[in-house]
Amino acid sequence: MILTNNLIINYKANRSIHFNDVSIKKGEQWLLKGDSGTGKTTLLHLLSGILLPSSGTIEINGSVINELSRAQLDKYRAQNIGLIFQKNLFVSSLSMYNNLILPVKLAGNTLDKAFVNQLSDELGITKLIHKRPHELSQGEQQRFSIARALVNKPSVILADEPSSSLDDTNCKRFADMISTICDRHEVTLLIATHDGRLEVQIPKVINLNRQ
Amino acid sequence: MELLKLAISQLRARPFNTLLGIVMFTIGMSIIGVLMHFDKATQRRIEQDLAGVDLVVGAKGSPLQLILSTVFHADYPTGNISLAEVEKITKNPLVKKVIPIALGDNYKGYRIVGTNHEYAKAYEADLQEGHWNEKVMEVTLGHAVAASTGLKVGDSFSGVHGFMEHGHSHAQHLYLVTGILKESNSVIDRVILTGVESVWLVHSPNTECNHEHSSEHEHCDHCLDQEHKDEHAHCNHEAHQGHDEAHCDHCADNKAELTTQKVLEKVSNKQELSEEEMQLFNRHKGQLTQVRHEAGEEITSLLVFYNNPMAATTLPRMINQSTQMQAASPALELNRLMALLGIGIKTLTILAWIIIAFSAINLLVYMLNRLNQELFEVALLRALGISRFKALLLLLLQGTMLVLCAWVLSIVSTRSLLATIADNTNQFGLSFSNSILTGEWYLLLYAIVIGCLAALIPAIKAYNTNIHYLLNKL
Repeated sequence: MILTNNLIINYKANRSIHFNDVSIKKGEQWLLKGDSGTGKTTLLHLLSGILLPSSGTIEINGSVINELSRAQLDKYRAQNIGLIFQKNLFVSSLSMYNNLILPVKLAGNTLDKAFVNQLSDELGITKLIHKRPHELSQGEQQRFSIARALVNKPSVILADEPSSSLDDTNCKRFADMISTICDRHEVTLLIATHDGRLEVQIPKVINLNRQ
Repeated sequence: MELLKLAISQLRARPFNTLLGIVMFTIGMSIIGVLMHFDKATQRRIEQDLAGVDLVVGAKGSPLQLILSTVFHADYPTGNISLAEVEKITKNPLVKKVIPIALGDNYKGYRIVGTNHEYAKAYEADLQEGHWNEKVMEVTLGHAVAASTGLKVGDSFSGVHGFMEHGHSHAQHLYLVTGILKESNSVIDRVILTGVESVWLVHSPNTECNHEHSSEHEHCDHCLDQEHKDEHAHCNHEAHQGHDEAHCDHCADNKAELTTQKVLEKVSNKQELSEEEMQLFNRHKGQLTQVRHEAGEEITSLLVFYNNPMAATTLPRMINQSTQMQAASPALELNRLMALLGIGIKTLTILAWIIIAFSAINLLVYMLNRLNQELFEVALLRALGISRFKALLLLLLQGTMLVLCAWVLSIVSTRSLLATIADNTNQFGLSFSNSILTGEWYLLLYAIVIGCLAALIPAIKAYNTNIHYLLNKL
């Protein structure tokens, strides 16, 4: 469950963004749509604890996360939220397997190897796990991004413009894949995007407008 | 643990830069390590070689030269001192013990030291085999001498005049090896011990010049000539080093020498002598007695041990002011020497620290460059839940590990360098310890601090990474 209430963030002296209240139930899949500069990424960062709101509250699964300290927020994010970025970011010095299990290690959780194998199989990346990031294609990297976001068994996955660089075929494949896998693992999904192609698989949309 | 693995993987990802950083630190730390060991080995060697000697008395000249020649056997002696003068010192109530030293010859570069058994006792030397030299021309070999020359108990050899390996040989006087010392890691390992009388005998002008001398001296029967004897008196004297044998041109002719030899042979065969031969024999005998007496009056130097600390203030001054000899305190002279050597060591140490400073700058530049290129990775790690402090720690860990690797390598390379130095400086008998010196632990500490300082700026940058801003830039 994600609930926001009267969320405001101030930036650049006198500027601020006032977000509409959001309410997402457990396991639901939503798109966060809006033009550039409406604060899609900012809202995702607020929900993930990367940013702290100037006022208002954010409640995820019963925890008011804006009341947590920075260190607690880092830990909360590591254990409860899976992130997918616009570009596929990996630690270049690590193998894909080590990149995949990195969130588990950083969160201090016990590695569930069976779950990692299951995820790898579901996403078709088992044969690629010993490769380095630069050895993979964009699509392969994206599948690893999805797997990494799920590896800690988070309750929420927040994705920021994941389909912006994908063609129609790959976009559909991505949307099918993430939607299916989030359904299977009962994970709440919120995708910030201005890409209308995703609405086929994820019809629920929160529209952000410039205020 | 995960941070450590991550730090290692990031260092391994750029092997050239990492290796360069490690090598630079290693060079700096190795130089400092070698200097530390060298300093320690020198100090230890000096302490062992001094063997508690409080004062060295010898002929006037350079006090440092006197100490180096007498205690360390590393320089030419300043001259000889008379036994009559030595007697006065021996009887001084401030003096507990004296050890005479008579130098003059060497065997394959190892000095033949005429002394008494107190000398070996002072170095706490023990026999490895055989027995101590007791009679004239018997010798006890230092451990290194036996190992290097291959001489064994029962072997004989003749000394070479002076301190150079090649030169005028006293072939007519053979030393007999009666004992070999255990290794003591002091100067006694590298000397050949004999009685003072052996040195006197070998350098007695008569015995030296009569027969079996080196080719230049074969014609030299000048020892029968009283006048010429004075010129030869220096034969038991260090001035004889480099002595030009050409002076033997004014010696008496070979005929007289042969006659003397014949007479001596007749005497040893208990044959009857003619009146002329008897006169010749008497002259020769008288000459021998006189020469032996005069040679016996001098030694090279005297090692003095004080009876009480008061002696340190009065005895050297008394000797320097009221005798023809000089007294030199090993402690004072060596302090002076170490102060001089210290300038060189200090310069090298400064150079090594400059290298380390450059290594730190290199590390700083390398890590900053890498961080600029991989700032998104830091943002990723932060987004995945690594705390700001852990991001800072990750960079500091990399700096520390790099320095740690360099330190381990420097420990290994220092020992390899020291082994090479030891192999090439056998004559100085420096023995280096393989254990890690306290200074090397401190070096590790300093290096870690430097490594951390070099990594601090990139680490702070990582700490302050604005992930929202960076992820927005994607």
